[in-house]
Amino acid sequence: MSKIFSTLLLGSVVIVVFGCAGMPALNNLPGSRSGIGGMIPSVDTISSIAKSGTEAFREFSEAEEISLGEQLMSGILGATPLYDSDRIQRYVNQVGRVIASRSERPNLPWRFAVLDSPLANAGAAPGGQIYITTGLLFRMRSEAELAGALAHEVAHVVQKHQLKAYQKKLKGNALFTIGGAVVDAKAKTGVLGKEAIKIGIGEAKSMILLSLDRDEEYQADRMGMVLAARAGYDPYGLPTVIQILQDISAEQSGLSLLYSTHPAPADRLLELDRSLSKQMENYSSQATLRDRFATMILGSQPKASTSTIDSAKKPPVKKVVPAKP
Amino acid sequence: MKSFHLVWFTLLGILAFALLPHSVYAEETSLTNRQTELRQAPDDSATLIRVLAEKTPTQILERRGAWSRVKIVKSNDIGWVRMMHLRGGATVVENESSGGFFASFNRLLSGNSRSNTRGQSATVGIRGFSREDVERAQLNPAEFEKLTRFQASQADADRFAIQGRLAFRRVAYLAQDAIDDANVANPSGTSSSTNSRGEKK
Repeated sequence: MSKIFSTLLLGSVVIVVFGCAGMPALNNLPGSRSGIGGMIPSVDTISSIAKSGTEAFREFSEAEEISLGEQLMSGILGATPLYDSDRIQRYVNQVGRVIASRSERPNLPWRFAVLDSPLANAGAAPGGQIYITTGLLFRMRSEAELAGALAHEVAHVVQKHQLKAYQKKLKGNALFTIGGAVVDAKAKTGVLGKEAIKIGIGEAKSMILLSLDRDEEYQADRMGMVLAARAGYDPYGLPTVIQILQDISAEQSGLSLLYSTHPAPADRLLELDRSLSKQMENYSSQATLRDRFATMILGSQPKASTSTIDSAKKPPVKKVVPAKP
Repeated sequence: MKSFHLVWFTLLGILAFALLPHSVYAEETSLTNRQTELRQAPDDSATLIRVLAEKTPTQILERRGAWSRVKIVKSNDIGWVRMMHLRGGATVVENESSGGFFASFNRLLSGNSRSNTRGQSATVGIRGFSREDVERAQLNPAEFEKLTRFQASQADADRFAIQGRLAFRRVAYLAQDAIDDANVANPSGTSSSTNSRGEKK
């Protein structure tokens, strides 16, 4: 029994840790939100939650939100390193910052990490920390698509969806306080020394594991299209990314049970179409910047056509995994 | 004997041909997700070519904003369909259900398995996210510091937007998504929509 249980848990960790809470469709394992898989409480997690439980009843300040998010990003980077290309990292940060600067929270310390992972995914942590994997990035064909995916994540940060999920979780767990558990594993944070809050890696993992409500995902899709349009991009980049995710999930049909709890890409498209497709059409001739995207992603190669991107697919996508968008 | 080799080379050539192009085009294959119209131009008022039933297999030739230019697999008609009326993820279905040159070769090559078509990795995708990776995960301040070096400043973003001729537009969220000022710490709340740069056309 415990063996089965721990196998299950491990499975969830593997996928969801990297599965971001951001783009939902694929990252959900049965139980990752509640029930068994939900919290995978390690000892240090529980004990630190117990300690911080009372504190969770007040709102986080912005400084705390930022420090929490930065530590979570540090944890994400501990599991998956940055993709090794300064050019691509800078490029994605610039696109992301353009989007963020059109949001209601332009002044957060926005960071956009390109993670070296074949698992197609993107996600956000509170306070402006966002990541996208090479497994997703290298399947895209225009800057408008990249902008759309990042805009979805920026919307989560603007709405504080992740932060609210953590707070909800802390409240819930505080009721079950397990006294006297061993703590420790408090973050050995080098550069992160000044933060208001410190979390351990176990806690970080369990926070990264949280998934968001389906309505929050739909909201991030709607807001993402608007943010992309504000920034001057063709807002249909985001629905295009959602279609890319459909391709990926079709390939992964053997694993489809794993995503049964999040909105399926098809549902996300229907919702977008229903809610704001018409309004967005006024902006549909805005920039896609395919050439800039090709140049930046492929490197020095002069002006690649789109078909070049398809066939060269530069940094090769080795394995595609179901992710969750 | 010679002809035996010839056969093999021919088969190999066909195999390479069948696999490569397939992987390039496969992700442009799509199905309509509802009954919709195929039109001559990307506009609701353009001439109707024909009505497409739900799940009509199409090949996406070009994307332009809210519309995609497609070729209907069976009839070879070419026209424009609303992009939201297409779904990705049709690759597998296409391989199994419809004919087509590549599809039949892929079936042939892969036997009953789907994994040989394009998602070679379908069942091994989790590799790379081994349990060791997860167990090993620690906060990684050094990598975080590296990421910080790539951060773009507001000035960087402004320059970058100008280079790409990205013009700011005033676009409101839907009412249900409106940001409650109290929800964000930024006191001005509506920063982007009050930004004076650019005008909505």
